Amino acid sequence: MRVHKSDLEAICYLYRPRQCTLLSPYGLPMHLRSGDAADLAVGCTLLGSGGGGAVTAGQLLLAATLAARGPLPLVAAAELEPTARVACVGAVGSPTVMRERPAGVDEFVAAVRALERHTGHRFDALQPLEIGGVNGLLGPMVAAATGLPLVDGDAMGRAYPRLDHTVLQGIVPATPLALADPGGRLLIMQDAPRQSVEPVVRAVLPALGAWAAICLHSGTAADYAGAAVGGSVSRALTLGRALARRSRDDGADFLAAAGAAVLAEGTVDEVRRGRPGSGDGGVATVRLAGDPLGSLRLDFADEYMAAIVDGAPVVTAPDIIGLLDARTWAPITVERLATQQRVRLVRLPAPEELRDRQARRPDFGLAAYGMAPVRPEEVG
Amino acid sequence: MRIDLVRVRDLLALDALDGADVIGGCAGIDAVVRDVVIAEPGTALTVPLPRAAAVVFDLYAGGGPLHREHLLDLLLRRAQHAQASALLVLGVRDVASATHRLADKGRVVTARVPADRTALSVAVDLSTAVHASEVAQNRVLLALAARLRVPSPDLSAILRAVGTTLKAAVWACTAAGVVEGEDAPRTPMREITTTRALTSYRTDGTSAAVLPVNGLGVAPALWLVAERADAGPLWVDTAERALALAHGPTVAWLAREQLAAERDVRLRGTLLTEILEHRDAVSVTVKEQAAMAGLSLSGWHIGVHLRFAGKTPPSAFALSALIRDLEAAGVPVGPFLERSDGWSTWATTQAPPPSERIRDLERVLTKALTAFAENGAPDAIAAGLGSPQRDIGGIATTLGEARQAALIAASDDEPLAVRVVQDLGASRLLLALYSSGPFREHANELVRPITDAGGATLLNTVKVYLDNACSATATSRALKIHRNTVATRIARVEQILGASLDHSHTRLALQLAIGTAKAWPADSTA
Repeated sequence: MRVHKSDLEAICYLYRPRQCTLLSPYGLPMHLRSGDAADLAVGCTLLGSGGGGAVTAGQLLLAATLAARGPLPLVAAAELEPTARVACVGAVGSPTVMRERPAGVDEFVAAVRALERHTGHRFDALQPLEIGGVNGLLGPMVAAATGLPLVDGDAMGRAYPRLDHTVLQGIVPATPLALADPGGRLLIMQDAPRQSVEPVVRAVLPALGAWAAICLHSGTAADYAGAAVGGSVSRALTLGRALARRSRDDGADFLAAAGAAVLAEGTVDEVRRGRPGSGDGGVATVRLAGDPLGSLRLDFADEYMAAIVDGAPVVTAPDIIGLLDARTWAPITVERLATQQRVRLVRLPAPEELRDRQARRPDFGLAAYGMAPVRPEEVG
Repeated sequence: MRIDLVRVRDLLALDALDGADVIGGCAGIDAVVRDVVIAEPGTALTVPLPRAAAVVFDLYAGGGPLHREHLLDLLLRRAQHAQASALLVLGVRDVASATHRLADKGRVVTARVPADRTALSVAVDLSTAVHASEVAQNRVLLALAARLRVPSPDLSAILRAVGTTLKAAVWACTAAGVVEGEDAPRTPMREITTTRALTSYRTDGTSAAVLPVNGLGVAPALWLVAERADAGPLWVDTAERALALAHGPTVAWLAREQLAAERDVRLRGTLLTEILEHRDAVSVTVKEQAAMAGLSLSGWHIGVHLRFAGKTPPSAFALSALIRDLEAAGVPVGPFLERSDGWSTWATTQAPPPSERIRDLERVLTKALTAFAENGAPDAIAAGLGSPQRDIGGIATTLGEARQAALIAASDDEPLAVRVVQDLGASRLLLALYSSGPFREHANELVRPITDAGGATLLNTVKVYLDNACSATATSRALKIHRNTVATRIARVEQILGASLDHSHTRLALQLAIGTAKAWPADSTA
């Protein structure tokens, strides 16, 4: 744990818990408590579509911070003053290295404070950069640590591997942004064309130790209310709780609560990592239960991108692909996918914001991963 | 001649798909192909797929997204629904197990085509084979004709040209076995050597075309065989035409070889006559010619003599395979020399051969002759081995002994008999009689009425009767006939001869006559 008592005391005055009677779109009370961290972690893993990084460290950090700080207000962007200042916060870089160099609180607070100093105004709320994976937990952790309320939303609606795969693209500029690493190095990117942000950040990450805390997309609550994916945090919490409290073996209660559908079940027959051309990602083959000749093809990069059953696409990005352990219903990430696992393929619908093809928004489908696009309805 | 139904296996045998790697759907390899279409990533989900089509899919044609491998699965599903026959993919490097399984499930033959060709060139070649198979065949035959267009090609060059053009394993075989080519054909040798006209066979998934080549004689002396696994009717038809095209050069080569072999036989026969007549006194010139002809004159020699029964005794060309077998078994012998009653040669060592050497030779010779007989050689083979003798003078002695042993072996009833002169024992006493011209004539006169009246059956009955000490019971048991039948046949022989077999002199004379007649049939020369 890298949450120090002195740090917490120093920023304690910023914490202004407000009474809020609103319920989230998923019917949850608008406060996050320490006990919610485990459910939120499961939900973020599910929304990661197999990627987004391991959540264990983020869950522990969030639980500890909330235990120290008390309940964290969860607000909708529309409930804030339209001129209130909001920014996205999270981590960028290698999740694998993050396991070797664990995250703390300081670097995230440092990134937020640096961007505040650079822009000349204090933020009124923070929002997770992406809800899928560890960033779905780091956002609330930073909000709690800085004493700011957390906007119930995110910029990706799931997990994506690039900084420019956000619904804020073209609406709330990514720059200026702040990067901070656990070693105390701090970097401000003043301005850059939006297509340059991702390559520039990737270029400096090796010097920062392969991952860094990032604070970006500084904008107003009105901008966020109109563009961000709303209700992401409460959705993750709902999913996590529904999965943890699943009472039926067939998971019908979880599926109903999540709006999800089981598309296939079977045993992982092969995992080929390293796609031709790019060397990343890969393809998994699942032998379908009940059909000895049938098979599921699962294309993945950092996340699961497309599931194709006997040549017919059944779910593709931006829809969220959940691969769950057939017995325990625990999500299986891309990193932990292995042969002989008995798995269940679940489709979780993508937020509508990811389907809304506005000109300013990037393509959140298979093209986002460099895959030739196909849609489930194209093959009968 | 156009092949009306081109199948997937036919397409896979074409040059256009040389090196193609079938990754699934093998169950559909005999599916008929009626059309060829090209698909690209941009049209993979929309291009019409006719029934029984071969789909050529260039996975990385044009620009666009980097990762397209999943389109192969989608196209495979479309091909399956459209009942297409094959999917030939260019550019794909890594194929997931799901794709293999999908191809197998849909029975759509899916093959990865090497990257050194284009979808258009592949599609044109396949389309030509499907819609105008005679054009595809003619291309192959033209390529073969170009390869054969060299002056006086030898057999290995002919086989190489045929094999390369047909992408097949090829062999040249004689009745004695394979004379050119690696290993052995999968088609049984007996089927090959009984082929009398251009024919094709299919054995355990391997297709073969066989062409008999007559050479100088009436009967085939050589068979050309082309085999290819998983080949279809188009390849078989093309292979037959290719072998027919190679027939001319092969006949020319065979005629040259046979003439050379006959010439060598005549030369060696003359040398042998000189050696047998002059023994140690042969001239230096004869010694030099013998050395050039491959005959070893100095050292210790063990004579070998072969006698063949049947209408078509083997030629010197066919015996060359037997020499190779003996040499491969560690018993090198010189070339066979034609004699009036068979073929002679000798095995030479510089040191005095140990006593077991002749037994080794007997064993190896028996094994080689057994294989020779199994491959359609003459009706019966008798072989004799002489004793070790030294230098030129010894050659005549050991060859004489070998000839005597072969004569005794020929008097047996066995289809293959090998005798060593040391084992003849008392049988050697008969050699004088067997070798005597007047006695041979008398024996044939004595036996002929029996043969004329009852054929080989009656003669064989009396031989077995005499061999079994005139016991009708033992004879009936040996011949598996009733005792009364034996008695009836013996009575008939006695009636033909006008003498009773109760008399010992009659029995002795008849037994010797039958043995001589078997060793020297009436139409043979001394």
